Amino acid sequence: MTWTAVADVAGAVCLLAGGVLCLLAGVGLLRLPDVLTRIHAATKPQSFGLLLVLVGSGLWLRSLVDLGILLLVGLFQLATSPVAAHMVGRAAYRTGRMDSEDVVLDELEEALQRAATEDEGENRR
Amino acid sequence: MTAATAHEVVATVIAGLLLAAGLMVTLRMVLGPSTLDRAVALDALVAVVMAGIGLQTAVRGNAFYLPVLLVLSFLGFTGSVGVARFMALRDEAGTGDVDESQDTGEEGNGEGDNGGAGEAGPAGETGPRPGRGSGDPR
Repeated sequence: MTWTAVADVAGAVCLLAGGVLCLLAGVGLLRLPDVLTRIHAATKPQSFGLLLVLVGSGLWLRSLVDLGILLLVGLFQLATSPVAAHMVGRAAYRTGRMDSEDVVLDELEEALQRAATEDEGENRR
Repeated sequence: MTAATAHEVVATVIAGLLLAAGLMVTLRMVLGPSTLDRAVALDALVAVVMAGIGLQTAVRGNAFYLPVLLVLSFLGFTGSVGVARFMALRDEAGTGDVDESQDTGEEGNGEGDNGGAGEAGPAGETGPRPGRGSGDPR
């Protein structure tokens, strides 16, 4: 009896933390000025917030089959959401939708310039 | 009885949080100045919906909607990846004139090889020649 009560309270805390992370992502999406910073805000509930919700849901469900499905959901989400964020960030950089003045270190620009000069050298040969 | 009501109170609070988050994300998706903003907001909206489905599963205590959660976690990223890929392709074709002509020339050449003779004739003749013509002087 006490074990289930502890699991209920812990699950409620996890679900509440997941909901708060989703709310923070909404606030961040509205207030942040840039595509890259909005990706930074939007990927929090995709990975950590959803994991918190899944843990809370598993603590409330307490069934082995459901726990397996929840584990699969968490694994797939952790595998797929960085791919989406990476592709969107790459497209945002390549279409120039970022403030280049605020960036402290931009290694990708150096690499792109190096690749461009190498391309020109190969074309002249 | 008290435990059930406590569950319902917690679930109502979390549902309110998720509703506010969904409204803000939807507002960003409507307002978003660029397509990438809308793609990011779409991903965040999928995450909020998944959190809502997880909450509903936890409160009701039945696992009827867990396969929906599984499918969303597996396929939810395809939309924004497609949008981002499309944007990157359009930008690369738009900024680099040399690359664009070479790319379309190669594609037209490949289609000419693969396709029939009727449509591939003019496309195969007009496609590669401007590409090589603009590629050689540089």
